[in-house]
Amino acid sequence: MMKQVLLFILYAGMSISAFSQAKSITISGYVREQGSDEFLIGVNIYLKGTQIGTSTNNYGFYSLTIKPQKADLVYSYVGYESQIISESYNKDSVMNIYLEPSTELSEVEVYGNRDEKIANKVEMSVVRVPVKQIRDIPALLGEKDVFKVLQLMPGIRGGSEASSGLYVRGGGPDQNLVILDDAPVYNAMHLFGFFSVFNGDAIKSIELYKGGFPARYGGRLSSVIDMSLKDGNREEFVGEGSIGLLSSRLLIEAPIIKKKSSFIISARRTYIDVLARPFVAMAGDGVNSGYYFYDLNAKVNYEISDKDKLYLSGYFGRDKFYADIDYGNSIKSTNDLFWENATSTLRWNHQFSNKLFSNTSLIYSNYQFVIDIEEESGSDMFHLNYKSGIRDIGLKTDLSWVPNNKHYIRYGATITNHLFTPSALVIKVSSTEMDSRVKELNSIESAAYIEDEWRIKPQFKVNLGLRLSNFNHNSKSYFDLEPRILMSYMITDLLSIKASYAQMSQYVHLLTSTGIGLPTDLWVPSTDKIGPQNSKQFALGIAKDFEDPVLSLSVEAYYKTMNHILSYKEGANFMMIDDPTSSEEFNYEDAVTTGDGYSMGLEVLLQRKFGKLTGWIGYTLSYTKYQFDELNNGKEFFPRHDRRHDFSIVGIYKLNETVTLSATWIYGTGDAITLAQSTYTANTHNPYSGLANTGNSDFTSYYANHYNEKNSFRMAAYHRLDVGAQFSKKLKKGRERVIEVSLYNAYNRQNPFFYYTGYNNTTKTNVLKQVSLFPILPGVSYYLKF
Amino acid sequence: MKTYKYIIIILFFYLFLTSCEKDAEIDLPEVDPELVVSSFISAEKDSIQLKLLWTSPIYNNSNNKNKSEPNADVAIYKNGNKYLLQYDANSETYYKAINTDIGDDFSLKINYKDKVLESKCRIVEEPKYTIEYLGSRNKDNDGYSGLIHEIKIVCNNTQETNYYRLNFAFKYLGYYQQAYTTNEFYTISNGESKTISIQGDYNENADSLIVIVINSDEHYYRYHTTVKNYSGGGDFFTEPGIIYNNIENGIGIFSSYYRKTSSIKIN
Repeated sequence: MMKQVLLFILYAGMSISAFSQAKSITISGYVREQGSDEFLIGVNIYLKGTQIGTSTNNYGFYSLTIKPQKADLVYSYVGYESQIISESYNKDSVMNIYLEPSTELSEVEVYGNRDEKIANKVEMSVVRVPVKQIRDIPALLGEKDVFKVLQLMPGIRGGSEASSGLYVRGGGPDQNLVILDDAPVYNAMHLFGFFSVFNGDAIKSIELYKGGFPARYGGRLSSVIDMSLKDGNREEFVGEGSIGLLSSRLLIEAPIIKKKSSFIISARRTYIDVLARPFVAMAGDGVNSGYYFYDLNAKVNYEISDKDKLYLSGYFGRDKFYADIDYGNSIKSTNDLFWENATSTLRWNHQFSNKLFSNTSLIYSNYQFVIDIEEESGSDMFHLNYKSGIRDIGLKTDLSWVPNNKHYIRYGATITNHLFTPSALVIKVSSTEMDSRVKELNSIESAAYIEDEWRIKPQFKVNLGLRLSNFNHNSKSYFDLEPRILMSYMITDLLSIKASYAQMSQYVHLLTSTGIGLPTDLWVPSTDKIGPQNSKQFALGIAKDFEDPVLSLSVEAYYKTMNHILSYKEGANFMMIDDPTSSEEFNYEDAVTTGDGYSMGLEVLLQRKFGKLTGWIGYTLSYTKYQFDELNNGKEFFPRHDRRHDFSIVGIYKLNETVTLSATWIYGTGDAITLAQSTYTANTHNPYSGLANTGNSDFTSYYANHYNEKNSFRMAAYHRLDVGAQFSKKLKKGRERVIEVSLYNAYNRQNPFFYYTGYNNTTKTNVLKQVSLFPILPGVSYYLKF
Repeated sequence: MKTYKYIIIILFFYLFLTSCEKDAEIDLPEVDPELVVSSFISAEKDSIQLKLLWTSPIYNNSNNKNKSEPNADVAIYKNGNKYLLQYDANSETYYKAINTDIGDDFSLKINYKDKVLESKCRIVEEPKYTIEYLGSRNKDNDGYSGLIHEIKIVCNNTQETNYYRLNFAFKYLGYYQQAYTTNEFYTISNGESKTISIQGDYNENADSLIVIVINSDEHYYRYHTTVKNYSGGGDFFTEPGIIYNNIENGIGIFSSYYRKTSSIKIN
């Protein structure tokens, strides 16, 4: 630990000395989208013909320090027309740029642009999916899903059939940090994981880090998914909406004060309850039950001055089951079960100088799962309310300092108060409180970080960082130093080798027995009994760009160790916390056990981003093993999500101006599961033996299945083809409509969802049965932009 | 028109909500039957009993009975001395009268045809504890009526980790009834206490509360806790529990315990 601190101080000293330079000038400003004024994230700004450049941050700001000279300054961003500004740059200047969305980027136009070349980027293990591409990829019942597109990338796999859960480089679903406008989202699933909570319409950018983590990110072992909401059109009122089989969506954005302030609101609601109503009615009189989910994103921004901007954004989403039953004779019951996420972020951007930019965020996030039962019998009333969840209030400040064109320094700090509610139960009879058991756990998590993206030589760049994290729960305090390093060396303009090392700590834990995003999954803090989880990850890779055709190829190998990871003990599961009346006895610390794991893998991604045919081919070879003293007799085992081979092909073909065809095919080795193949009598010791009239036998018999080893059996391989077609048409007054038809599981593969032991009446023997979820499913949706 | 609407809705729900079920088209590995051992040794006893049964394949097998194996050579080694256990057909149990003392090392060797099963354990000491009766309270909701009795038990065993199993019974005019609260397992250290609420005094007229305290070795503890938490899986939501096993080349348990009983007058 001491050695790491000394190295860091030494490095910091070297860095500061490097800032003393000959006279230089700074060009700074914001880059926005022409027509909407939306800030653009990650726009490349560079001096043509050199390796000198920078990019816009998450708020569209950039700062580039160069020697005075006459030069061509290029602003380049995929999907937009590049701008080249040729002039003599002799003094500090502010250049606010507007980029025009390009109608179609041809390969010829892209040729020579560096904006999408991966070889010269000081990053690895990062996945970025353009929002436009998410719309083009066919989806289950036409419901576009950000997470399901991420699952098609190497190193990331989904959970069970159609689940939005993410397993990144051998890590569990609890090890992903999902951030929406700086606010963590704790249960990012609708409908038991079939859909993620993110409505792609309102999302501006999505980045997923699966390794090589910059120091500004922390708190989870395996991935960070950072999403930004759109700010809202500052020029004119625009909107878009769609109607699908399961849900409808509407988005509107408009200026409040032109060029000064704007808002965006996006909402989505399913109508499963409405569609199911005839069946519910058939089920019986007096029953009104159903399920639906909805979500709402909203954001408003205000530009106080050129240097100060305020943003207020929020998300609210809820899934709800309800059943109102009238039994007659004045006996009624109302049963609600819902889970909801609410996040809100108030952000203040401040530009201290043309080299120093800050963002300060006040963050609120709340996730809760609620069961509410009310029974009325004449004048008697019974009311049960059970809750579990987590509520965060946090403050975070991030600063970007660009002293010269060799260094891009980010530093900042964050502090969050977590309030965990593993269970809160209130029972009332006729408004008298009969029972109240509320368990709340308060914790403080904080971190400070510094990182420097350092261009040591034109070909050699590093990103060095250090994060100091702390977690306090009751009298227990945990500290950790998390060094991060990422190196990139360009062998040629089109080929580079990259390496990274990152240590991560995770202080909050998710108790989940299925990983499919059940509402009963429970977030709990590190305590004196359950410490933080830690990981170390090494990655080595090459990045290669091809110019004709324009393709990019990345090959990465990684090795990750995970320590003190959590699992339910054998036989323990979420059902233990599912019964509210048993919550008194449930103590999560007794139900879980800790262990270690490791994962290694090779990931290949060949991607084509331009031209008529776009998409990618991804392949992952991985090997993951866990070891818990209290599981599988202490022996190593494959976690369920271990997948040896994972293959995906995504193709989007623009046939002409109006028709776009798309297809995805995925293949994955079957999940590792525990399958019983024989039964036996498990005799236990009878403690009552010999006690008068309680029996004399020393043995008590139980019928049990015999499992060889945990997860030693492989399910059948998973593969599926989805196809889709979009037909778009330009309408009057700039409107556009798109009709999309799709087929999920086009060749009707019956992928196993789970196995169970069934009985064959003909052979009079037990047989292994499989349950599959979705056969071939058509989808259709109508989209209108106005 | 209305008919079409319902057909579309029914079709949609059929497609979306009905899952497909069929025989799995996957090769299952061949499974050979295995021998299952159960034996719990105590210094409070003057004999050793052992059960030896076969596993039974689940699939492609019409006879799922777990048969006892009467023809094995079952040998116990106490501090190096060999004792052969005899099979009793009535109880389907192997048996031998052997005196055992705290700290004795026992090993097990079973020969059956080409199979050799082995295990070992050490005889644990008696549980040393004090019990305090904390009183009772009435409970008439959550579907349970009757008295809840509360006790506090303090461990006085000096091992770093002691493995306790607690069971309870109520005594009514000489008649014993097992309590609803049963099989509480704890890892407990010297001086550590546990407070336990005991349900099962439904008629609220028990004379005494009987507390059965077992101190065991780790094998016994892990085996019984995994049996207690055992779940056969069978659905997507439950991970099957694997029962602890300390038999080499076989399945089951060979372990030691010591049981003591305390009676607390509650009425």
